[in-house]
Amino acid sequence: MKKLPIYTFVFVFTFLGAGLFAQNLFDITSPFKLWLLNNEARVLTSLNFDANVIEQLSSPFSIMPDTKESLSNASEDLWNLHRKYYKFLDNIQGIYTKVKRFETGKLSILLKRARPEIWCFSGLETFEIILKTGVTLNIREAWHQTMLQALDINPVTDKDLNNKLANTLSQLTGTEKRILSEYFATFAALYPTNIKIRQLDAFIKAGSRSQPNLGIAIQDIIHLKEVIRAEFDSTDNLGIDSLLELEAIMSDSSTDSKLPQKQATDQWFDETTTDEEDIFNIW
Amino acid sequence: MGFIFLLNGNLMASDSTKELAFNFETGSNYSYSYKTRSNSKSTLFDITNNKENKTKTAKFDIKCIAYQNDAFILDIKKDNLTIRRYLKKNGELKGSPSEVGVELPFFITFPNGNWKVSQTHKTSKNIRINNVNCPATWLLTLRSLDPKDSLAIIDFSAQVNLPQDQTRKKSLKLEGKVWFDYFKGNITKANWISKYNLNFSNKEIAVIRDLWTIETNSWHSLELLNTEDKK
Repeated sequence: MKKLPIYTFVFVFTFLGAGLFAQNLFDITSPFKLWLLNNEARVLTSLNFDANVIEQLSSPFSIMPDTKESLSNASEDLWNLHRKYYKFLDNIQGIYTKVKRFETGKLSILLKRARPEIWCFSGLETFEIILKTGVTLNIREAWHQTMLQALDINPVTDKDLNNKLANTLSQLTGTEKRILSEYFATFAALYPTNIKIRQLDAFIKAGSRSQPNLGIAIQDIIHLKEVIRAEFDSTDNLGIDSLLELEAIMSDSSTDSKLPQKQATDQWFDETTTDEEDIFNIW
Repeated sequence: MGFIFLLNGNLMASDSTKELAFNFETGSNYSYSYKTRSNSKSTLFDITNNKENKTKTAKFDIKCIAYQNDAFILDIKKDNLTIRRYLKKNGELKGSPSEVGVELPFFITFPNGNWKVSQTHKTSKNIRINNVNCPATWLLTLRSLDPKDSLAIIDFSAQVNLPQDQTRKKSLKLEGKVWFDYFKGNITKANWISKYNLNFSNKEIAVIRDLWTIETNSWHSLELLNTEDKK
């Protein structure tokens, strides 16, 4: 009992940390974003200082009152474009992280085989009156919904990652995409050992070209809700025995799922390592 | 002959040298018009964005209250707001009670005494922005004296050392012309332009990549509209 708070503390933070860990593990946009933000900060500092100097010199006669007028500022177009890029990259990062986290499909197989939403309710079967009121289905569906929230999966927007990616890519015009590519090329030239920029560029280009299936494993996880409902509707809803139910599921060959087919997703991820010789490294 | 030579000598001296000094008449009102417009351009790879502000016009009046302690006491009124300044004859600001704590611009001042045609007069100051000093110098050159209209034409330009480094290359060019009525002691007209350019690049070891170029140009003109004498 004395150690219970400690165990609880470790469990909660491990659970919470898993999401952050995954986000950092699959982060491919931060280096580029930080580079762009840093450059913006340097230019903004310069422009602000220089504008103040120009202002000090633009009313050269002491007979003139304060005649400050805001000057036209074409640099605002640059910052507006960058703000679009930041939003775009955040969306791309979200899709990329989801695909990478679940692409192996192991979690969806585990959920289909182990059916934890059945296990968690099996202890309440002694209360037959509860079974008859249909609480079983509600609890199983609630468990599934909570699991989706814990995994940061939105059953509406993440159901079709292809569509989500297409919508994200359509946020930029052709010219803006071209400029972004040139930014990537500049960044890659300045930091040739950075592989994340190549991964990011490859992911965006693959998304612009083809429509392979992304996020099949996520679809399996989301689809589990329909499976729960279908199984429940097919029974008499009376005298449900969780153990019997689980045995039936385990023996059913259709649930012996194969890994979600990684249909041509390899092209999405540039997994090149840093084996290339860095010709600019003179040290 | 000596008398004629002396007379001619004096005329020649007044054509080539003159003391330029402000001379506001106490009680008189001077109305000025000030116009400004600007445009700017930003370049990102092969994409250029242009923006332009339309010409803006402002008017202000100068009323000379008095001349005391070697300074004109002027009320400068613009948009129902009056500021008071104490101005020396060479244009130097002696005081500004309504602008205490305000960082005032770097003003041009004329040289004391006679100013020779083609002579350049310099005034320097450290413009302080955010605890950073930026040395600036006004260069004024008397181009010509027109005795017919009693107009002196003066070219002026600013020399500024903007802070820059390997990644931020800057240039600032500010120059103009002022027409000064040396008989009445006031500015009749002035035009000036400022051109600013910033070229920003990234440098990592031996790799240099240009990123952005930002240019800003502004045009200004000042014109005396009319003078109302105290009479």
